[in-house]
Amino acid sequence: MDAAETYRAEPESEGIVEKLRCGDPEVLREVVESYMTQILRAAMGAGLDRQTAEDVTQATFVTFIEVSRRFEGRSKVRTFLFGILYKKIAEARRAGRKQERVDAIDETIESRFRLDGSWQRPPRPVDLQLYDEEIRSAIEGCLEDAPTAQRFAFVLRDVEGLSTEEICKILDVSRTNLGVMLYRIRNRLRECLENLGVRGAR
Amino acid sequence: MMLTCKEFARLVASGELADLSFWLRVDARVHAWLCRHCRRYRMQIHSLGPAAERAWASSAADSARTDALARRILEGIVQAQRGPGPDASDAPVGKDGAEPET
Repeated sequence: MDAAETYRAEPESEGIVEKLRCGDPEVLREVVESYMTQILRAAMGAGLDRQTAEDVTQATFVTFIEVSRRFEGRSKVRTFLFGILYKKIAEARRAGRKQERVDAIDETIESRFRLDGSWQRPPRPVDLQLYDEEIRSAIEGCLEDAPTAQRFAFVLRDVEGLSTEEICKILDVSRTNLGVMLYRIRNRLRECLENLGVRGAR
Repeated sequence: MMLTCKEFARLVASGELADLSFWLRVDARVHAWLCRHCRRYRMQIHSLGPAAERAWASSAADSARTDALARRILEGIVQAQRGPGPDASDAPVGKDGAEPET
């Protein structure tokens, strides 16, 4: 149960910023190599296709270098990078997407409980041994129109394993806000996989 | 008062469980112990991340393409730094000790 609470340690970032300011190409390479895969994976997890994710990853590093002179070393390099990435993803996904005040998942969650708070429709088994490709397309399909911030919160917390404190900084939201976002996106996903598990006859 | 299933589910999915007081955490544990639906729910919520990670791993792990991207990024940055011309090496902001409190 506590697995979700173990955070992955960040690669060593001591002194990196200072060297970056001097434009040391070796340090540059080190930063790109340490963080690029994670950044790319998060961009794709947040709903960008491979090509757009690559472009956004590149743009993230370019911006990072541009503003690294102003970087004060207060937050970690990773927090800083993810913060830039988040803004770029939001821009890339903005086209044709309106932010909804009311999230449809709230109603779905409500419908699963009785008035006294007990289960009306208890969770059905979910088959997580489905083919990865099957799960991938199900996850993609169900996250398709989820708000960007929610998706990114899920990727950072449950896939990349960042702490809630760090994610709050990256998304610039309160702890309570992050809780609501995670609550919605996790339930959305769970509902999705539950439906899939029943359709596939395993 | 005993925790309801709905409240338990909210605590699990929002991640607030970790922030609760000791006794409320005990309450939640007892609840999960007594309610198999909530146990299943919790297990499913905790398996979402690993499932997504596995599902996405295959599509991100194209090492040739990833290497190419790394090269592209590095070249792009080096070029951007050379771009502005001879004054690209303007006085490096050396001291870093005194950061203003924000």
